[in-house]
Amino acid sequence: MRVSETMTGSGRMRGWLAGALALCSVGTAQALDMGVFGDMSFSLSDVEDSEPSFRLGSLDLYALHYIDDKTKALFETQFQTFSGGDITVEIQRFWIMREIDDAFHLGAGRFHTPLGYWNRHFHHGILMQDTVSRPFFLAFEGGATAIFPTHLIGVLAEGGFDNGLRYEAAVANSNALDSTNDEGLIVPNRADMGNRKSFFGRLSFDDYQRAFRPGLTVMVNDVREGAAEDAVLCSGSSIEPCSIAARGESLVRQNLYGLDLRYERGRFGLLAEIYRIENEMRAGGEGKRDSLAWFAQLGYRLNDRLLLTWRHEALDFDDDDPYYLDLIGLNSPESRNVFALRYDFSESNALMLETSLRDRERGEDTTSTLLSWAFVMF
Amino acid sequence: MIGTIGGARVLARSISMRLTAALVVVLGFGGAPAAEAEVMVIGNQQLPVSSLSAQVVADLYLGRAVQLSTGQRVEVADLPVGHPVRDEFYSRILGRDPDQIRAYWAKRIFTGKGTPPLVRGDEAAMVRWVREAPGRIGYVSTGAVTDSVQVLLRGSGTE
Repeated sequence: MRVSETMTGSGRMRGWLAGALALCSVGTAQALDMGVFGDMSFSLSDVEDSEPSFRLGSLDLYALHYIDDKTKALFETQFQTFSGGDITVEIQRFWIMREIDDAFHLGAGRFHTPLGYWNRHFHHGILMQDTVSRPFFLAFEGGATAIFPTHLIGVLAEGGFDNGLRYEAAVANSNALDSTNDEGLIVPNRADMGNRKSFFGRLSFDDYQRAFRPGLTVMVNDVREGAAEDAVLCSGSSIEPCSIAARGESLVRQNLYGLDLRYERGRFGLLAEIYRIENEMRAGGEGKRDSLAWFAQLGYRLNDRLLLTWRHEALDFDDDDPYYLDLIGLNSPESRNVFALRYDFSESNALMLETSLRDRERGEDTTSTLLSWAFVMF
Repeated sequence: MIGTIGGARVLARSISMRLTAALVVVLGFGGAPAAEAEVMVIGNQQLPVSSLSAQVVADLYLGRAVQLSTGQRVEVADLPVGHPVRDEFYSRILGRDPDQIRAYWAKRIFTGKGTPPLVRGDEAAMVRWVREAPGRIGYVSTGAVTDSVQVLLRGSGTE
């Protein structure tokens, strides 16, 4: 197959896959670690205009390689299909990291944000999760309910100690949202829109032999106006759409404090995360607003292959907090209950059935069901 | 290291390694055939233990532990994918087949939880590597064990 064909749409996808398969087919553990995670789904929902549908899930290609004794590099590219037939190819992770010693690894590039346990441990592979979906407020940027930067571009340090204590700390570009459209949070890959960087930190206790594993998260994040240079400002203009502020101007300064817990004993497992978010309005609003996002997930393993999971997720905020309205169009708090049954055929593939009930203070409650077959190749 | 070279050379080297591993298996230079091989977990003579349980060996080879209960930090190494002694080791000591191990490491790498053990080219190279530094652990078939290393666990798990 020619990789040099015009790289658009499905042609691009075939090209990438041909290259990936050629490499993977000769891979050895020492030379290059490559893999593909994927999933296929069937969905049902009572949301208006949604039909029962088969759908391609994401195809996630990654490679990790030690380029010398202490330096490793990773890339992760995701292919996603959308209802209109569009295919997007996005670099999800792309970094290089030097392992100076066990207590200090230093890297640069695009990482998953050290935001609680979920975001840096399940990534984009559904096979890793106990449910098909992520907690709704941890959706990846661009998702309909994404409120946090789940990726960062910057430098990240991490390390662990013999007693199980681990740390992750990062300095990164600030984030942006384009108030003239509803495309969600923007993670600037190449140029920061302002001179104030974002900071992320997490301390955790991650000894796999212990049942109880807690973690603490802190984030200081600046969200800037990402509208085009020539966007019309809303003040004094009747032209729609207009931007809240000039490009690069600070919209919201966020302080976030989080706590996560994992507990595993026998057949039971618990995973919970809670975040207090302070949104300080800089433009397009005034004052500070506090909000709370949390989820608690309980799992019970029926046998070696079957896992039953229930999760409650909630985002609670002041109705007059403009951040959530501007970013994701949410005008009232909402919560979701997720029930899932997972059946592992083997280590490499699993079938997951999930029903989620979305409860909104304003707006219609909805129920969605997903059947997903998730797998890893190579 | 392969990683400092360009992509084409990585590919060529990988193909070469894979073909070498296949030849080793086909020609029988990799040790006794799988049905006859008894796997020995071996360690450097300076290790502060004389035996290990299958559980400890599994924890080390699955990247869940990097040190012994004595506090001694250890490194472990694998034989190449497809090597009959490697398959025997994972089957007898860890109770997992090659596909399970491959999927296990794919998930660990993807989630940033670790990378698989380094690979030694053959059993003689494994013994040399274990002998060269304290804290090193490997596995070979019975016939490849020398006096320069100590046996920590037999494949049947009886030691």
